[in-house]
Amino acid sequence: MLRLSLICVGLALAINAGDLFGQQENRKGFGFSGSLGWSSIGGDYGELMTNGIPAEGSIWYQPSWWRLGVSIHVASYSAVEPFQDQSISQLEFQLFGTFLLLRGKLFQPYAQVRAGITRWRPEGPIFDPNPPPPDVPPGENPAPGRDGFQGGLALGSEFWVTKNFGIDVAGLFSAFSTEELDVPLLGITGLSSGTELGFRAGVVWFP
Amino acid sequence: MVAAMVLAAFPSIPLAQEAGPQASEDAIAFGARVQASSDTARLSDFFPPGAVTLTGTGAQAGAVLTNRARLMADAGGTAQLFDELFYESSEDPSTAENSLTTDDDEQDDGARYDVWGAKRNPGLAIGEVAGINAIVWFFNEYIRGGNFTAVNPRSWWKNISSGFFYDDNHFKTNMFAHPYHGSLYFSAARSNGMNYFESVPFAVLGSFMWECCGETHLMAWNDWVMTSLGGSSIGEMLYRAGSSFLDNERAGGSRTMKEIGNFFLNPLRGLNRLTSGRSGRIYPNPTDPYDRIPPNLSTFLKAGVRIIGDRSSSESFETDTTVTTAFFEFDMEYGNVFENTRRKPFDFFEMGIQLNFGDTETIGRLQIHGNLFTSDIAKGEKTHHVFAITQNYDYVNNTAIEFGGLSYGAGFFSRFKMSETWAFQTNVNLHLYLLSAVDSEFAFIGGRPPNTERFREYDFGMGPGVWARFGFSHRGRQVASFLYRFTLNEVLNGSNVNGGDTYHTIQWGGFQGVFPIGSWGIGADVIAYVRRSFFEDIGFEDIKQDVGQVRFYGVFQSF
Repeated sequence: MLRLSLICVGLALAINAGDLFGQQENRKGFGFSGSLGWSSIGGDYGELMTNGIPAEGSIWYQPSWWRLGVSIHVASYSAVEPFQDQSISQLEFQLFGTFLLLRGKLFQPYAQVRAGITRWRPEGPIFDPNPPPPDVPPGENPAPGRDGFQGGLALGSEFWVTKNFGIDVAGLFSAFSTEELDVPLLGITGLSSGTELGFRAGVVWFP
Repeated sequence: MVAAMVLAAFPSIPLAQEAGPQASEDAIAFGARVQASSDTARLSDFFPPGAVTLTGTGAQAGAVLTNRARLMADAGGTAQLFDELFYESSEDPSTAENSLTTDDDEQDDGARYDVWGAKRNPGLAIGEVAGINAIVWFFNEYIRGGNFTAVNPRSWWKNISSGFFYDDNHFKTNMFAHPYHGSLYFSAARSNGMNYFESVPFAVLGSFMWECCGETHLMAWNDWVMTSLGGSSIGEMLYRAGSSFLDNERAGGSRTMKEIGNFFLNPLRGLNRLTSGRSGRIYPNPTDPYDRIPPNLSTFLKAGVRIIGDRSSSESFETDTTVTTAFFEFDMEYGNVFENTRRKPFDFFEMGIQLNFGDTETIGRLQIHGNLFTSDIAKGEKTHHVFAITQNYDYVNNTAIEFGGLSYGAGFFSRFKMSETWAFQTNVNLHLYLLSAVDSEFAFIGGRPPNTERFREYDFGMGPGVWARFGFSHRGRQVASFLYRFTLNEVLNGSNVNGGDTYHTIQWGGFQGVFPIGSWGIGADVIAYVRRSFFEDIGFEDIKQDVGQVRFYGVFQSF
């Protein structure tokens, strides 16, 4: 109870100290975000992968309480044991809208909606078709990428360290659907959808 | 509306007429261009933010005319007259910030602007650098279908923890395409209000960002050097070239064509001018000619035929393996190392690009030699000696030769006036290549990168070099010149297998003569390329390659 009270007091202080760096509530302009995180995979793809490290870079424009932006999201997921040394790369281009629940404060919670295209690129021998396609040169990855769409939600908060720099922490959930992926060596066929659940931590720059 | 008021106010200004007919005509012409640009334009459309702080109809007209008067080289006392007229009832002209005349001008909004009115904006420059990498990555992943773009935090860590290697890209890719790519990073910063030295780090960081995180190939030292430093040479050259034909005071179709031309020449600068509104706004050009069209800017167009030995030529300058092709060449002498009154980086540079039709590569040569620092050593009535720190970018790629690199050097320029019309000039440059690439018969046997996709046909190395040029000029135009150049390439990656010591020496020697006929002329030059490659330490015979080239051409000189 004491701990909860301290947290509440801390949050209240942070919120009320909002103008410490002279921020203005109506601040507008372009900004950048970058983050690293952790996430786990569920759904169809959960049969094949466990968890991975995503990274994300974003550029956004903040005209009001909303931020609109585009982000590149890349991640590497490990395959299930005993193939944990082999991986699948995830590449995503996303459009997002972020609604700031508080603005111009040290502590800025937000909700973010995101959607975009996704590509999963299997890497490693377990994904190789057997026999390999004849038109793939030696050394090239014979397992083609699987394209699809994804959408999700992020809930988090920014903690502004200076007027222009802040720390961003958020939890993320998204769902995706792709072309079918077969992994003959594992006897897995028809993987086409999945979910991601994870978190991210990074920096925000509002120059 | 305001534009109309400007013209309406102007005829009622008696003092303007007294300032001299040329001054008045110039001011009237400017006012007419302001009106022609847009009837609905606002006064702020014609000036950068904060440049004008006046109010009222008369004051607005005065701001336009005063600004113009200050820019007119032949205005004489006009500026003062205008100041007295228009600031008498509004504010002290000494406090008015209505002219962009210096670097990093502080404006009312607290921001700094360069002489072209570009707001200093490092944040936007960083965003553009990241955007360039994102676009290149997207193109390679989704359109080209590359196999090196499945990047993720794991590949980033692998690249960073593995350190730098040398890669196996084609010579053109490594020594030309990558420097051009680097010029985009450089231009992102340069066109966002930063000067030369401030822009170089953006090229360095942009290239590193790509090497570590934009591709899964291990980081390549040669890419980093050539992209960042070679890119700064190309980027500054393109920036200066674009500045020489941009004209902020023009309106209409000719202005549009100039902005489009600059966009193709320097896309990042064109984009930044477009998005900031400067490409369509009429406002003063930089007042210092070195920021736009420097004195003694000369360009040369050459077209003709060339006869060159091919790669199989041996030490005997064989003539039975020659190739004859047409060529086109564009050379620029930006400024004059002796006459320049301002000596900022690249206020003097020489650039040459040669297109060879029917050769192995169309772009056969690009060389940019620019002064970073320049100072007089001695200056007399008939002699003038100048010292300079130079940045030299070289790319030569044709049927017989592959040579390129990035070097920094100490240059000594001398001019001896022989008569009123004739002069003898010399230029000696001692330099060190941070990286050079030379074609090599055994580059493929050693130092192969971990993710080899092809056998490289050239060695990477570094080493010292020197060139000496002597020339006679008539009325400032060079009519005869001699060149000798020596480069040592101590191989760092390629033929130096198992720690073997291999190296190349490259020598160039040549003569050029031009017979001028007005702005035109006819010319010929001959050049010998001599490569000695020393492979004894790795158990192979040394290689000798002697290649000659003869060219005949017509030349047109402008400016």
